[in-house]
Amino acid sequence: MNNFTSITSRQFVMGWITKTIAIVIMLTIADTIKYSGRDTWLAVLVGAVIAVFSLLIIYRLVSQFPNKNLAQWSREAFGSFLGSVITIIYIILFFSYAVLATNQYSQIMTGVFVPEDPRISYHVILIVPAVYAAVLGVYVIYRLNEILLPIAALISVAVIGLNYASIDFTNFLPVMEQGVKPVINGGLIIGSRFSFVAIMFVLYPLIIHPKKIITQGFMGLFALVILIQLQVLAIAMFGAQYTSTMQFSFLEIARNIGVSDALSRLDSFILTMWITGIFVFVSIFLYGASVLTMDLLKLKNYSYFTVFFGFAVVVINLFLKDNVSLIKHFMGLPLAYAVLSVSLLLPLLMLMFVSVKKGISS
Amino acid sequence: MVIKVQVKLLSVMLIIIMFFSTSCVTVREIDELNFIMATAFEYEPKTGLYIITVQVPKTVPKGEQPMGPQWMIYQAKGKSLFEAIRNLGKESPRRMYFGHCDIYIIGDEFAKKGIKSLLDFLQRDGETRVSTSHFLLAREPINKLLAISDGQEALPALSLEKLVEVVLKTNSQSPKVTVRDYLKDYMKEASYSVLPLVGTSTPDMEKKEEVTTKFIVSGSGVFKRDKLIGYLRPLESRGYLWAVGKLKAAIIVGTVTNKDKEVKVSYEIVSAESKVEPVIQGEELQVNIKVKATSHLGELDGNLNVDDPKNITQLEKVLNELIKKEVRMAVSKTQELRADVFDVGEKLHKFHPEVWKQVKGDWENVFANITFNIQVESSVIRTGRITELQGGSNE
Repeated sequence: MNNFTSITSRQFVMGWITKTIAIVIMLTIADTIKYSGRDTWLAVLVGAVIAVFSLLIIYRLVSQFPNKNLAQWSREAFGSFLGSVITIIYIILFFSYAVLATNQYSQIMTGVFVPEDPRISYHVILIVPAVYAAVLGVYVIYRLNEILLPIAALISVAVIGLNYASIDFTNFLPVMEQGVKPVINGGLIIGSRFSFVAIMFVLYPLIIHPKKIITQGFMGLFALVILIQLQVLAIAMFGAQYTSTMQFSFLEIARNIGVSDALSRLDSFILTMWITGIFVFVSIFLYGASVLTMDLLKLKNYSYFTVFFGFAVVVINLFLKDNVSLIKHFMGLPLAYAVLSVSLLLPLLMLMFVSVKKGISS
Repeated sequence: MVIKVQVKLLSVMLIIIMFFSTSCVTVREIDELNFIMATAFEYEPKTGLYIITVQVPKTVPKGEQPMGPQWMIYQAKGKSLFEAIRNLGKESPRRMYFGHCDIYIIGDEFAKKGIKSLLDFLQRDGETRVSTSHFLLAREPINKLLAISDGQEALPALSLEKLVEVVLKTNSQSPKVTVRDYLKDYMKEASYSVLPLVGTSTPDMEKKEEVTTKFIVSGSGVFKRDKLIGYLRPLESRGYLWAVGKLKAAIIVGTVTNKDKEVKVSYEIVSAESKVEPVIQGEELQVNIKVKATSHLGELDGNLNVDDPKNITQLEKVLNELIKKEVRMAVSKTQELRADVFDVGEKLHKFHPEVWKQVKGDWENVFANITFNIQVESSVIRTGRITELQGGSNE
């Protein structure tokens, strides 16, 4: 394996952070606040617990098949038919992520900033470079992310720092006024976004020193929780009821900055950070879906599939309803259940099956 | 070979993106926009129509000077606020742009009817900026307000924006409220807000033609959720600012006694902070308001040796009572209006949720009968460049 086809475990974890933040920052956090209200900070912790299970289960499973991705080992472990079905499920999952992220991107751009623009222009502007990056290889995307993530994290911290005077932590009181159910519901939504770690099914054979994934994964999860809690601070600034009415709470935090007359209207920083994250997100999942398809069909080149999937993302988005509320509703609890069943429950069943099979054969 | 393929791919990618990034579809040139600087909203109960009035700067080609005032007024009516806003376009060849509007004035009738539609628009629209825009309540007809030119700034809207800041920093008798501040209050369970009152003032001079009408910001209006329910006079308004810790500066005039003679004192408040705390005494709910104020001695009309620590203590005692009186005035008035502008309900909700559950259904009546304990601790830290001006008519 040369350095241009493989990534380090640190780069993998940084990619996980970027993917999660890119999706959570705009719609998910507002959705979670709707469910969990002022207890969203607890929901993030519940989500982190789900992420720990997801990370451990998937790692335990893939580490039993070193140097192979899901498409390569699933038929060996579950038989030709079942193995292919499982691979197809993950291809659909990764492809759906790319579709939804692209949709979310164009919805927000046309919904908030440029309502008159045709949405297809945003689909194309995002998908073309994402396909290009995915065709160049996974190393390119993760190397790019290694540079972009620290800048994005710095912007997040700066945005909150510049709003320091507006933060009132008493807005988190009283704790769990509505009981534990809202916290669990919010936790499921956040937890489902943490489980983007399922891309490990594709990337594990490309990771140098994969044993470090767990240690670095926990460090990454800690950083992720901090970055998401920064977004939850919208509640400390605006109060839970007001924040729950906002479609894009982190954008409102950026718009709230007003240090003298000179330092205000910093929406563009948030947009830069978010668009970069969405680009990395879409590239990685297009790459994941293409590589799995290539190996499922036992071919040698995945780039044709990347172009095909990219084209399909643009076409499907043309037919998806132009309605941010509908997408938001779907991206709430319904999507959380769907995602968790594929990235937590299914890997758990696979792990149990593989372990039992191994036990019997030994 | 690989590099050649990559260069070709990159070229194709850039060509495709170019076609989608020309901005031709929604291009907006600066000379096609009318930048709204101030907006006023009113409601006509007779017709049921909303009236919107906006002030925009005149723009002329480079090197030319605009004729007459440098601003223009547009006005439109509509069955809804949004329709009225869009009807502005019937008169304006340029598209109205709200991104730089920092002044929103609410007319009296509209405020009494309820401003929920305005709050909705200001949040929903992509151009408006709720965190930097000032919210004001008009105490005079909107038409009169936006049409005056005080000569201080090129645009009356800029003058008004500066005035709101300066009033708070020189002699606070009105709060400064952004749309965001109002929205935060609006969403609370016990939702009450206070908005500054803006009107006009004309100096009483003999030659009327040399007099310019100016804006005046003083006093405030009290809102329950989105409806105006009453007014606070300037000193009541200042009492409210003391209690909620929003007072930045003030001039307070009182009287101390020295050698059986009354001495008029002007205190300049330079900083203040406060704490409003609901407490449960047995079964009774009480509210403690603690105010801390720091002042300078601004003027003495009489003789008083400020080098004597006893006199400073006396000055501070008098100031304590004066501040307490103003806070008491605000409390009495807001209890009369049954308007919890001190966020007592919100604090109960946060720190005593079980008590809040019991009282929130009848909160207005509970608030009207709460006992307020007001404590003031003030200090006079500067006495100016002189100790005592001897002589004069007070001797």
